[in-house]
Parts: sequence; structure tokens; C-alpha cells
Amino acid sequence: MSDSYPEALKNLIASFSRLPGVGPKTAQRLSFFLIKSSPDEIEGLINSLAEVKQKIHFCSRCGFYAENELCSICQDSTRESTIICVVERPQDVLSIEKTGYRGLYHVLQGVLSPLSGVGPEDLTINQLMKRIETEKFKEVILATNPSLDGEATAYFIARKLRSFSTRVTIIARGLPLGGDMEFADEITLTQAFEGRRDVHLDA
Amino acid sequence: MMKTGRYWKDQGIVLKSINFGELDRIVTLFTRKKGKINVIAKGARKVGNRFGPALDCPAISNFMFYDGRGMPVLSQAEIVDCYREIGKKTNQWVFANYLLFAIDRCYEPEESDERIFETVLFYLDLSTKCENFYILALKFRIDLIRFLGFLPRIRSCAVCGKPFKKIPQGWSVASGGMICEKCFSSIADIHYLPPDMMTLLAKLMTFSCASCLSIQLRENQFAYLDRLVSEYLTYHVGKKITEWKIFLERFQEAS
Repeated sequence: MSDSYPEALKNLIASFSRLPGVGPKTAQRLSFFLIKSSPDEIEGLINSLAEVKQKIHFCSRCGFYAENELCSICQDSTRESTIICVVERPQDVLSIEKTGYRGLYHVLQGVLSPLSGVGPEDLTINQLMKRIETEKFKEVILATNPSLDGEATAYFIARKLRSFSTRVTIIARGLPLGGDMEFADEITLTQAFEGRRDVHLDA
Repeated sequence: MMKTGRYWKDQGIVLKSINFGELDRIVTLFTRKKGKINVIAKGARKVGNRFGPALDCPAISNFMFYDGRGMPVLSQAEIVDCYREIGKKTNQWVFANYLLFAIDRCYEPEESDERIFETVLFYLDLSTKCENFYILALKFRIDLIRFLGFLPRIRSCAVCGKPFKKIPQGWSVASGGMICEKCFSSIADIHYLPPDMMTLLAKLMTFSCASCLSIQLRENQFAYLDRLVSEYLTYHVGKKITEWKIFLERFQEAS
């Protein structure tokens, strides 16, 4: 960053640089764009930032983003309330929503990781257990990332759920659509074979 | 390590990784030839990326790197073993993470040691067959101390170097082992090491891993040795090496 920049501009660039995925060059570009923007546009941006900080928090029930105490999903009475999908982060809810899934969610807010010092008490596993005790789900779908930490977290939860009569499932692992089998690694292929299913033909 | 132009190959084990930018990851590897290195894996967060599970801890793979302007860029990874099944057993998974944690703490970037690389593979394989993680965690740290060159002296005085005529009872972390009666008063950090602990420590240092697994340890004996070995390693490496019991405790609930 040039020393000749005014202090206010330096501060703005430094603020943008703190955002994930934004380097110093991008931070400068964004800053110059804002300098050229109209006062109304700037005010709109400031209001949006203030509003999001003031209003958005985690849903007290599932941990997804919410404006009220409960998020829009937990408030929706038309959703299938006997199925719950356990995900790592709130962003995962948005991805699963695109699939047409109509059940409820529980966001763990991370994944177990001994190397990063993340233990069960740092996640919302206890809240999940309480929900399963009180909300009488028929099925718990474990949809953690297909990383080793994600799987270890899923199996950790599955073991805690052994005392409940609830069905516990884990989402399938295997080949992504559009991929080429020639380039698939043997672990992914093995999991795809393990997760194979019967072919159902239309009558 | 094979080097062709700006491309080079090495076998390595994934110690840790952090997300970088939108789709990339910075991965810390402990490689056979070059030791601990940080590399960038572009597109590693995308579903169906070319690395697959090769970047999960503690996967072992044959990697191909490209020397870019900054840190090396990972261009290919061919999995040797990714220990996928350990995720199903919490203790096994935590133990694998403990090995990686200790290696990451004890080795500086580009400090290579092929013996420790082989040792990690050995313990990872052993952890899938044997569940005596208390002994494995002790023995692993003692092996680590040996490879780092800090093995404590137990047959001769760590200060004067004279062989012991009778079993000594003084232990000094800073001096690097047992202390004879004559040197006892000249050491500041000396403390009493019970004879049974001294015998167990000697066994763990001299026995092979297979023989060590037959050692019967009471819980209080393990706790004592766990602390002793971690304190010793922490002092000589200069970085905190958590005791196995503490490392495991948080995850034990569901096991």
C-alpha cells in the first residue's frame, strides 16, 4: 500500500484486506470503486452492514442464520419435522436446501479436530442430543463433509445416538456427477462401490 | 526426492491443512526427503477435486510439486494409504492426530528425517491393529526423543558421565537423564524418580515396540510416565507437547 494514500483510504484498504479471500490488490480495487460510488450507494452499504451485524444471529434451535429467535426453516410448519439433517456450517444448509430436502437441520458450527483443539464441547453436539430427546425424530441424517475429520465427527455423534431408537444415516460418499472415472482415486471408488444400490426402472 | 526442472516428487504424510481463499488449501506435509513443508493445493476445496482424500490427515501419498514464485504448488497426489477407517474409531483417530501433532511440534520446516517418517508409518499401521494407545503414545514419544538426539541417560550420570553402581533416584530434565549421588546436590531441577518408574522408563527406552506392548502399566504409572516424557520433550524441543491423556480426554466420552 502506498504511503502517499490519505489515512482514511489506508484504513479502508486495511479493513477490506481483513476479509477472507481479499488480498491487498483486491482491497485497493474495492476501495477505489467505493470512492467513485454515489453517497446513496455508500449509505446503502453502510446500512446493510449495520443491519446484518445487528439483526443476524444463530437460530436458538438449529444454529442456522436467523433474524428472529428461530430461523425461517424452524418456523416453517410445513416442513417434515421427523427428519433432521446434521451439518457442519450454516452455509451447508443452503447447499442442501437446493436439493429439495424438506426436513429440519442442526448446525454443529464446526467439526471435531484434535489438531485444531476443537472438542465436542466447542460444537453444538449437546444441543443436538437434547433436541433428539425432546423432538422425537424418526431419522437423523449425518451430512458432515467427506473429510476424515468430518467422518470422525459423524461417527462420534452416531455412537452418542446409540441409546436412542432413532434411525441414524450418513449421506452417500462416492463419485461426483460429471467426473471421469479414469481420474477417480481408489478410496472414492471403493466408497462408491460400497454405496451402490439397486437399479429401479420405471414400470 | 526426484527433481525435473521446476517439478519434483516426494512421498509425504499430511500433518495439517488450512483453507486458503475461496477454493484452495495450504497443506503442511512431512515428506520423506525434504521434511516438513508447506504447499498450496489449488482447488482442493472443490467437490471432485483432483486430490481427493489425499489431503486428509493422516493420508500418505506420492506427491508432485511445482516450484512457483512463493510456496511450492501441489500438482498431483497419488494415495498410498489414507487410513480412512480410523475415522470410525475415536481413539484410533485421536491417536493418529497425536502423532501428527507431535511431529508438527518437534520438527522445524525443511528439517528432514527419514527414520521418523518411517516411524510414523509404523505407528499408524500398528494403531489399526493394536489398541493399547497408552503404550504406543509413550513409545512413540521416546522414539521421537531418540531421533531428535535427546535420549535421556539412564545407565550413566547425565552430569559426570560415570556409570551407576547402584540404582540412582535423581532425575533432571535439563541435564538429560539420571543423576548420580555425587552430582545430586549440584543440579537445580533435580527430582526424585521412583525405582519402579526408572525401571519402566528403561524398558520403554530399550525394548522393541512389540515387547513394550506386553508391559503392564497401572493407571497411575502411566500418568506419571506420560507427564515425565511430555515434560522432557517439551523442555528439549522448546514447544509444548501435550500429554496423551490430556489430548485424548476431550474425545473419550463416546468411545
